[in-house]
Amino acid sequence: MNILVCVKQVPDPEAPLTQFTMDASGTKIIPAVSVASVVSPFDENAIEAALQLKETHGGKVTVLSLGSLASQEALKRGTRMGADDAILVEGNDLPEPDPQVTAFILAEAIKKIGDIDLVLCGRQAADWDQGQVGCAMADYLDFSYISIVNKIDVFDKILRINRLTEDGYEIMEVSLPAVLTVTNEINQPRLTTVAGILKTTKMKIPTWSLSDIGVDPLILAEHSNPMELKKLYIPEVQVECQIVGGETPEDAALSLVGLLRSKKII
Amino acid sequence: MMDYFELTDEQKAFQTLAREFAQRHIKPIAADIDRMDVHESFPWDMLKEAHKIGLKNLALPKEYGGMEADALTQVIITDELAFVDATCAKTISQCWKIPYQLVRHGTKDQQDRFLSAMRDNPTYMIASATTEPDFGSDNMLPYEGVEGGLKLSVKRTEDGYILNGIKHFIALGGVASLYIVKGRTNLNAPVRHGTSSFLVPKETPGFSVTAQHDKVGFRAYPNGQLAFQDVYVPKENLLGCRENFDTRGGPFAGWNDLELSSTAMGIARAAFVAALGYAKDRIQGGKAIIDHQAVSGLLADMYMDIQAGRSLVWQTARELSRGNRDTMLSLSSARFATKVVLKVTQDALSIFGGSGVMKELPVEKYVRDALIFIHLADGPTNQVKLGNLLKRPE
Repeated sequence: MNILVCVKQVPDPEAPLTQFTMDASGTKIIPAVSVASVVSPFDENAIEAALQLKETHGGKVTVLSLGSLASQEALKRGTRMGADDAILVEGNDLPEPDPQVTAFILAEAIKKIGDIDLVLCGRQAADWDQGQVGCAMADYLDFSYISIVNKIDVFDKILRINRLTEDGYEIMEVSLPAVLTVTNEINQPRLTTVAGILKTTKMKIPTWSLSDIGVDPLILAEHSNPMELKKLYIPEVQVECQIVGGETPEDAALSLVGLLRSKKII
Repeated sequence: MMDYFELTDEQKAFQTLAREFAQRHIKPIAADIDRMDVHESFPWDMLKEAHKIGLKNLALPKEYGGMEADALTQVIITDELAFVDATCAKTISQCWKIPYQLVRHGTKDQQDRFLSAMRDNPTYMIASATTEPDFGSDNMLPYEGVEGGLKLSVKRTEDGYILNGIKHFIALGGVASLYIVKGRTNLNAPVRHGTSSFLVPKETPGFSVTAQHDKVGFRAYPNGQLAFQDVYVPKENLLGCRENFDTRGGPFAGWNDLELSSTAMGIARAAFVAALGYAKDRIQGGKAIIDHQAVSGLLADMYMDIQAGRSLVWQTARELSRGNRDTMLSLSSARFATKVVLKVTQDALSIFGGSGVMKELPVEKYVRDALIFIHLADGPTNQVKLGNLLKRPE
């Protein structure tokens, strides 16, 4: 099975809020220099899912990213985890957030790579959290699509998957080729390995321009998302402390669960 | 803590690997293994995970599953591991250090037998057994009197040797699969020139681990007492198939000092980070205690000492990686790092106030772990060695 995983390099979502500022236009968040760039966490789950499928069923795993040259680090991370190949589509100064344009470009790159049975993505990127690239990409590729997957089993050319819902999960079957977005409940991503690091030491990651994949920048506007960014701000964090008690630890736990459910936190 | 060393992409990747490994496989167990009975506390699962990703055998030759990692890479990784727990860090770095005796001096047959086992078996480790109850520093100073130094009895037979005696304080004693045992084959020569090394697998009849030392710090890092009762060693298990040579020295000499100093600096950094966080949160006198000059001044000095020690250790490692062995620099690294870790951990304890000595907080463990370096990395032995080197004509 040939699997392609789309990965995005993002500012570390675990970095403290104080490390981020707004730019003058109010449309961009600027991370401090000390904030590391990492693979978007759900994308790491997607890489791990791909590697597990490969280990069980054979095939190849390719990681693909759209971004500046710095995004090569995200692709190296995937390779260090065990991916076979990595490709970067260089996309500087593309408008963000514009998931339709991103999906269109990635789909064209996937068509150029060819012979892909399964595309995996994280359910949403850790910067904009929109979760739209996967379904838009499936549309451009004319692949089946299922989102928020937390289990994948393979039966020849059919996948049986569990899809998370608000109060449980659905079991669905989908035929290949398909695009799936995965959620973190699916696995714990493996660490990189010594062998993986050595593989990337001398690695040259193929870098494709938009013209290499047959995309004319002038037509991107046709695919652009009509969404308008109204306001972007760093929320003020307010801390409230509520003590939830009970006569016994079990009572306290029940009270806490009820409270969290009423606030739709769980 | 910002790194001002220019690391290569590869070194940064190893640094990240070590950091993530420590968070995932060491942090959850560190406090527990420190408190357990020393006979039960060895972190086998952590070791298996380290083997799985190639960390345990990092320094071995490529044909034996390693990458021949250079000194700076090893220091960077050790620092990250020790930041989370020094005992797990030392377990892994010992797996890099001791097999070097086989790499440098072993015959091809010995390397194939024992280094292949390191490569293939996740829990296979090698220990080096020198110290005896009556002879410790005598083995290392060096001491030229023939009456000084280890006394493990070695009798030659037609096709091998018989060993009798006791070793103690042996690192990884009780958990290692192979012991490189030092014994005198020439009692008329000083210990450095009259000692041979014998490869003793743990299942050898007559060999036993008679005690597991219970230490104040590094508690989960095993140090064992070994007994040899008519232990037969065939001649093909004489290291290098030759007698009477010193296994120390060579291109990687100085690594022992760097291993200890990078471990010490990892502990120091952990103590500093803990103290800094506490000082920002703890309110006394109407403000965070870091806003009291006595505390902020202490933290400032701790920061300065750590940066100085880290720079010295990493620079020494860089030089060794380039093939520049500088024994004085590596000894200085070990001694300075010891002074830093002792001072920083105790200053951290002071900043934590009464909470510092409570077992539910990590600081008391840092202080206990730091004590090990007094004799291992500093103390009269290393001071004498450094002083002796200074006497040499320029």
